[in-house]
Parts: sequence; structure tokens; C-alpha cells
Amino acid sequence: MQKKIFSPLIITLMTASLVSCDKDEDIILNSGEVTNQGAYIVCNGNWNENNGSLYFLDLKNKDITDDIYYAENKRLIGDTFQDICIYGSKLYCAVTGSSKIVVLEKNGKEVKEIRLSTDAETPVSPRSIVSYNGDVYFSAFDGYVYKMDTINYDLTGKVQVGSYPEGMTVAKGKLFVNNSNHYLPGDEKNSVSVIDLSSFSNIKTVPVHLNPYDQAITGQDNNVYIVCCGNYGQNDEYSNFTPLYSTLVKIDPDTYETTNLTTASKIAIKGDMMYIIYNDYYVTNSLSYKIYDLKNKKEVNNSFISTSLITDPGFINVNPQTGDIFISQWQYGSLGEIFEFNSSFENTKKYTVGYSPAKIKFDF
Amino acid sequence: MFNQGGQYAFSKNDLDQNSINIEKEDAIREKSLQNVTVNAKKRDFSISGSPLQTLNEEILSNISSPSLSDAVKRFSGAMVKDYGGIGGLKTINIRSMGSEHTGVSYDGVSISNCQSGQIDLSNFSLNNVSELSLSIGQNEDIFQPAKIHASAATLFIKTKKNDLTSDKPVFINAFFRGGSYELINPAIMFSQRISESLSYSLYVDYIKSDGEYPFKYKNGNKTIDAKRINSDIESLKSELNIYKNIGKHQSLNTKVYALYSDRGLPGGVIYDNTFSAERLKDKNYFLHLNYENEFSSKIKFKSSLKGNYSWNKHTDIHTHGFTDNQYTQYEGYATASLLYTPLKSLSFSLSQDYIYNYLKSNIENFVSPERNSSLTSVSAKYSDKYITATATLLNTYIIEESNRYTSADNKKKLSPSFSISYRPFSFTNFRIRTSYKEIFRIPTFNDMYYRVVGNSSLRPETSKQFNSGISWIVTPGRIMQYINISADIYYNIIDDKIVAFPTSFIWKMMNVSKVKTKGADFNVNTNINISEKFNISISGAYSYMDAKDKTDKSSNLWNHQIPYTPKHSGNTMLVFENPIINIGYSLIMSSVRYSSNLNIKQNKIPGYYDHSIWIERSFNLKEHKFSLRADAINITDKNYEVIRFYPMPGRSYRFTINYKY
Repeated sequence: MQKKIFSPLIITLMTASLVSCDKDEDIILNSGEVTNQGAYIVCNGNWNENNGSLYFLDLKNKDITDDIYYAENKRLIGDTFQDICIYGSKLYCAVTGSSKIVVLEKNGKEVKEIRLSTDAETPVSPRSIVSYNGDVYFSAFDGYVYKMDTINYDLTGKVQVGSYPEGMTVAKGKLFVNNSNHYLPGDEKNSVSVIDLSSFSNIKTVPVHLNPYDQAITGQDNNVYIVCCGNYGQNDEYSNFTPLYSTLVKIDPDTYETTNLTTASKIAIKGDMMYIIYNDYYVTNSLSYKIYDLKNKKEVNNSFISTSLITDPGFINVNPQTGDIFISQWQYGSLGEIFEFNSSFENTKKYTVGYSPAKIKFDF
Repeated sequence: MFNQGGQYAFSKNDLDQNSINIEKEDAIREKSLQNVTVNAKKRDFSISGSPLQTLNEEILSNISSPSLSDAVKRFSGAMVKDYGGIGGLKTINIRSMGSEHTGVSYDGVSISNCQSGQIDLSNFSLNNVSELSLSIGQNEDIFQPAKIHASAATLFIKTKKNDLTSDKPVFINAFFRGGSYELINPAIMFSQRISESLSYSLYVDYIKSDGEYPFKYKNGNKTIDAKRINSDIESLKSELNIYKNIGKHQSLNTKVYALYSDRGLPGGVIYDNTFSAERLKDKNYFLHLNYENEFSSKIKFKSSLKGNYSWNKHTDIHTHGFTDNQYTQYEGYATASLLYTPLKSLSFSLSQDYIYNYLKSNIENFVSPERNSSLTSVSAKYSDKYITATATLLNTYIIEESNRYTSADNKKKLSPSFSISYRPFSFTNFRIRTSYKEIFRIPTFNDMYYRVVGNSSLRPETSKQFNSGISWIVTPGRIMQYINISADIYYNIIDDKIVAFPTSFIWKMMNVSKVKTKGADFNVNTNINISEKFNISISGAYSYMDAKDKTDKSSNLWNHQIPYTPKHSGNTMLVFENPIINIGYSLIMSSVRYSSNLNIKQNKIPGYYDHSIWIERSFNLKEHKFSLRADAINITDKNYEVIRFYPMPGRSYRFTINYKY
């Protein structure tokens, strides 16, 4: 009988012991050296989960090093790690959700953290970050492009652009900024702002195809190449949407003349060749991997990678030295992966990286 | 002075012949215990063929919270997804099947949210609740609206109804509660008997709190020591019930409900960015008419009509701009049920429900969906002294339209369920039970039509539940009045699970995943009546949940525990009643959980214990009853989270004055 009386207590104690048991495995599974022949992989992390990460890929030995930020600083970099720029001996990281710029040594060690908020105390939320002539520039969701010096890491100026600026690139001393407007209804959903970097002022707004987003590259021909997502190919009678497909747009940096070249969602450039992933959300079976010759203005390959190998690709980039191609893929509920291809498009390696890989940047 | 309705009135099912038999037997036993004057405190245990857990008014009064969600945490197999604070979203997830699989019935009529599919329990107060029960799988009460059979599990909320007599035609129950984080919570219930056949009750409940509780959070070697901001709430609930008896065999009850709430949504903790300005305003009104007619001892009929309007306004200040999204849901609901009892041990029922749902918004280009659902259930029940068996077949037919060409296909589905319970011995109330239920949840309007990510071609998410268990009520003697034990093992399969799936560049809702759960629930409670004035009641619950991702063998998620399902969880409650001051202690605990499908350290949320204590003193001045109570919640000031990045409050206090007349 005594036993019975206390059975609820026994359960409690049993549960208590079960609640406490806990096996541990480490966050860092692959650790390695950060070398000078490598690539940095920016992983956004999942939205609102503070798990952005920075992986390093040793291109020579084909070794991946897990989150070098965590390895060096014993904490996570923050929420929605969007972009990095490699300049001098430092890495400049734009962390959107945590609304900060973090300056790192190349091995991932934090040098400085610059938290950013507007006068109204809303987050600035930096997005794309580039360098030019001793300064770094970043676009931010508050509608400005900021300038930061690379010695004291002071913000030395800001210029207003359109709404929700995203991808940026420098061509002929000018900064081209995609005004994404978050693809929300409004006035500024189809423009690129041009900032003259010598005077750091907004000198031009160039109208483009609907919805310029995060891709902006300067070619060796000095032209600016951006991707405008259109309405993702949505055909909707009710809203009177006619499908506007994701498109590769060329902007002449002198005349600001724009040319819609071909359908494209993500792009990477090597010489005159544009490597393109096209996959419009509302267009069924639109996925294709193609190469577009910028000089001769024609598609030279329309399936350099099999669509069955990577069904839901993310970004693409090409090693400018070797021509090796890197394509990411998000996986449902799991870590991201990066596929590596050699210049003859053979899949040579696959790496597991952090959540939601967003960019790969080469450092030589 | 025993419990209303007899010691073992398993109150869920008054029509249950079997339970009536037991009541009789137990009534005999009660007689031998008549000198015991202290109310027996117990958790009702079901004798049903599938798990049914009940918390009656007395047990509910032992819970240190004005919020219904804290009571729901006491059910084994139930996880409350608690985003922290009084205003934080709280949804119920039974046996890891997902919140959308749990239906909520409020005084017999189901509450729905066609937009998100989840019911926020933080909108309900415990102050006017007389009984809370959770039925998992097949519902044994066959005289129910068809919609009640349409969920994998159902939470039944029954509000207080006072027995008024011509001697005491008025009843007042008033609360005033105050406490940490600037909490103020007055509530009053006023009931009046106008005539023998007409009475009403009015309930008003106001709550306000700034919700600014401190928390500590660790990002590796960096500790965030801050306060939750934008976590305030102000809400007003009111309810009018009119009870009308027409002759001896008919009744017509009317309920008018109104809720207004305005709260801050603090969001998850974001490292190095404390900005938060997201807000949610809710308005919800409904009118519910319920008619019952007992034509004869063999035929009973009931019918309900409900009209529901709910509106919410979701605002946020962004880095660049402001959002103001408003959503309005309309629901029309009609149900009629017929119960036919040709023999004492045999009954049949037929229920027909019709539901109309419509959602609109101020958002440009919003898809406004319209849904017409017809649900028909036929059930049969056999019940004698030893065996109770039920079977239900539910037919669902859904027609969906929207102002866009993308509306979903019509859906048609048959869902069977059954349960059997067997009492092998006549000398003790020991029962073996087993049940099976197959049901699905229809994709919500958000799943199907939400901007860009919605997918109108989603299929329903299906669930299959197998349950076997035992229940045993031991009545050892005078001091130890009873021990209730129930133990169940179960196996669930959720297939075509609807998840946000990352396609190339945009997420899309898709039917991708599959989850298999093996689990066990164990409950025990007892009451020890030391003497006339000293009484101890103890209860404990333990749940084991092995909920595994079974989507794709080649995926690295294969066999990982699904997010927010602890392997081990439990709770216990201890109440010591005495003439000086009543003391209560309660504990809720959970083992490690993962915030994501991938079970790596980064996604791990540590286990926790949450201890609370309370003291209470009651006194009477003639017919006026007063009680004073103090609660200390999370007394160890444990920093923990139920949902990752949503820290729960630390130690807090509440003081309550209750007046009853």
C-alpha cells in the first residue's frame, strides 16, 4: 500500500531523471585551416533563428571548415547573415537580422562589431556589401547605402536610394544599387540607383525590368549585369498579372541603356560567359542550367548540369581561375549543400555547409 | 458532501449506460464512506475505449494560472507550444501530431480558425471553466456534432453553469487577481434564475499586463541579460448565456460571446537587435444557439447554430515602412444530431454538420477563399457491464472557391474510427481498451493561399492513430479513498504532412513529410483522507514520445526526432488541505527538444523543470464565501524556453481574491 501511495511521486522522480539525461555532440564537426587559396561560404541561417554561419572551403585540398566564426569566437554571428566582402586582410560581414556589420580577420576572429539602428531606433539591416578604393559600401533595408572606412571602421556617410536596396556592384567609379522594394506594391519596384563614388551622391535612377533583386555583377566589358525577378512568371487573371519572367538585364554604365538579355534567376560570370540558373517559381519545369555568351549575345549551352542532379538550386558561382563551378542547394529542414563541378561540368565534390547557404566568395 | 454527480461520475458522458452502472456500484461504496466530509479531489479518469482525460473544477482551481493553457499542460500527451508571457501564442499539440490536428470544442460547439488552423489558447480564461477534457482518437460520446469527430484529438472546454434554485436564485462569483509584470485581472460571473424554466449568466473578464519580464539568454560565450519588450496585453472577454427549458423535454440555450484583445508580439530574441514593434489586435464575436429535445427515452435530438465573426489586425514597423494587415473570417455553422437507443445497451447516432468559411483581407491582390463543408457522421455504440464498443464513420465533403482561378479542388473523404473497452472482472474497475482512428486535417487557408508561398493543390494531411491501454480505479479504503491509474501505448502515423519547403528561391507549402510516433502516456492520482479536516491529493503524469521523421531514408533527417517533441515529459501536483491554510505544489518538466528537424547540438533546447506553489485560505461570512490565494510560479527562477528564442518568464507572483455568493 505504501508503494501505491507514492506511485505519483515515483513517476515524478523517474521523469525527473529522464529529463536530465542529455548526450552532446559538437557544433563544429569539420575543423581545418583557413588558407589563402579558398572560398568563404555565407550561410544566411534560418530566419529568426540566429544561426547564420561562415564556412571556409580550402580550394586546393578541397577541405571544408565548419563555421569559422563560431570556431574563433565561440558564439554564433547572428540572424540572417547575408553577405561578405573580402578587402585587404579583413572580411566585412553584413548581418541583416542582427542589424550589424562585423569585421573579421580572415580566419574568422572578430575584430569589430558595428551595431546599426536608424534615428527612429528601427534596425538598419544591411544587405549587400562591396569595397572600392579603401572603403566598403553596404546597402541596407532602411533605404540607404552606407560608406564605411576600413581603418577605424567608422561610418562616413550615407546616401538615400530606393526602397529595400539589395545587390550592388561597382562599375566605372559608380555604384549600381538594385532597389528591390521587397516586391511590394509601390513606386520603386523597377529601378536601379546609381551612386557616383567620388562625390558619394545619387546621380541617376535607371528604370529596369520589374523586381531587381540580389544579383549584380560587373563584367570584364565593364557592363553591369543584374537579375530582375519580374513577377516570377505569375499568370493571374484576377490581378491582371501578365507573366514577367526572371530576366538577366545589362546596364551600360555610361549611357544607362538597359537590355534584357535572357531569362535568368541566378548568375555567375567568367570572362564573357554568363553561367545561369533559371527557375521561375510560377513556371512549371522551368529549371535550366545554361551558359550565355555575352559578347555574341547568344546561349551556347542550355543544360550544362542535369536538372535531376540539383532539383532546387540556390546560388551559382564560378572560380575565376579554374572555371570550377559551385552550386548550392537548400534541403528541407536540414543543412545546405554545395555541389562542385570542374570546368567540364563533372560533379567532383559535394559539401555540407550551414543552414541556407547564400553566397560563395573567392579569396586568392 | 461528495462531488457533484457522485464519486465516479465520469462526467463526459451522461448518457453512457455503462458509467451509470458504475455510478450505482460506487454509490454503494460511497455510503460506507459517508462520514468523510472533505470533498474528494480527483482527476477524472475515463472508462472509455480511447484516452479521455478530464480536469474538473476543483483540480482546475489548483492550477496557478488564469490561463487555460497552463491547465492543458497537465494532460499527458499534450504539449503546449508556449511563446511565453500572458499574451504569447499558445497552441496545443497532441502526441506530436501538430496543432492543426486538435479541435477545440467550447460548450459543445467547435471553435475553428480556417486561416491558420490553430487555436490560440491564450484567448481563453480559466475563471469561468468548470471542466476541461481531452479526448484522443475515437470519441466515445457518439451523440456529438460530426465536426467533433473530425479531429485527431479534441479539447473540450465546458463553462460554469450554476445550479440555481428558488431558494437561491442568484449566484455571484468574482475574482480580482494582481501580480508580477503589472498584471491586473478582474473577472465576474453573475447568474440569475428568472423563473423555473429561465435563467442566465453573464461573465466579464478583463486582463492587462505589461509583460516586461527579465530573461537571460546565451549565445555561446556571450550572455544576453535583458527584458522582454513589446510583450504587453490588454483584453476583455464577455459572455452571456441564457438557459431556457421548454416543457420537460426541451431546452434552448443561447450564448453570446465577445472578445477584444490588443497585444504586443515581442518576437523571438534576435542577437544584437532588440527592436520589436509587431502588434496583434483581435476581435471575435459569436452567437451560438443550442436546442435539445428528448423525444422519448429512445430518441434524442440536438441541434446548434453558430455565427462567428473574427477579425485581426497585424501591424509591424519595418526598417523602411509599416505593414497593416487585416484579416476577417466569417463562419456559419449548423449541426443536427439524432440519437436512437433501441435497447439499453445499444445506441446509434446520426449527425449532419454544415460549415461555411470565408476569409478576406485588406492586402492587395489577396486571395479570398470560401469553403463549404458538409460533414456527416454515423455511429454505433454497444455497452454492457463488461464491454463498451463504438464505431464511427465520418464523411467529409468540401467545396472550395476563391476569387482567383487557383482555388483548390473539391475534397471528399471517408474516415473510420472505433474503440473497445473491456472490463474483465466484476469486482474491480479494471479496463483494457483499444482504439483506432483515421482522420485528416484540411490545409488551412494560409497553407493554400498565403501570398506566394501558398499552394492550392495541397492534399489533406492524414493521421492514423492506434491506441491500447488500461485504466484501473482501486478503492482501497477509508483513508486512501482511491487510486486512479491509466496507461496507454500508442502509434501514430502522420502522412502528407504540410510543411514550408524550400524550392529554389521561394518557400512553398508542400505535402512532403511523414512522421511516425511511438509513445506512452501514464497517469496516476490518489486521494488520502487523513482525517476529517486533513486531506492530501497527489497526481502525476508521464509521457514518452518517440516521434521520428520517416520521410526519406536517404535524407539526413531520417529517424530524427521531430521539432518540439520531448522524449520525456511529465507533471505532478500535490495539494494539502487543512483547516489553517491549503497548500499546493506543482511541477511541469520536459526533456531536451530540438527546434528543427535536424537533431544537432545547435538546434537543441535544454530540458526544464517549472515548480510552482500556492497557498489559499477560505472563510465564510454567512452565505458569502471568500478566499485569498497567493501563487509563486517558477519559484526556482529557471530560465527556459518552450519555443526556441522565446524565453519563458522567471519567478513571478500572483494574488487572488475570490468572492462567491
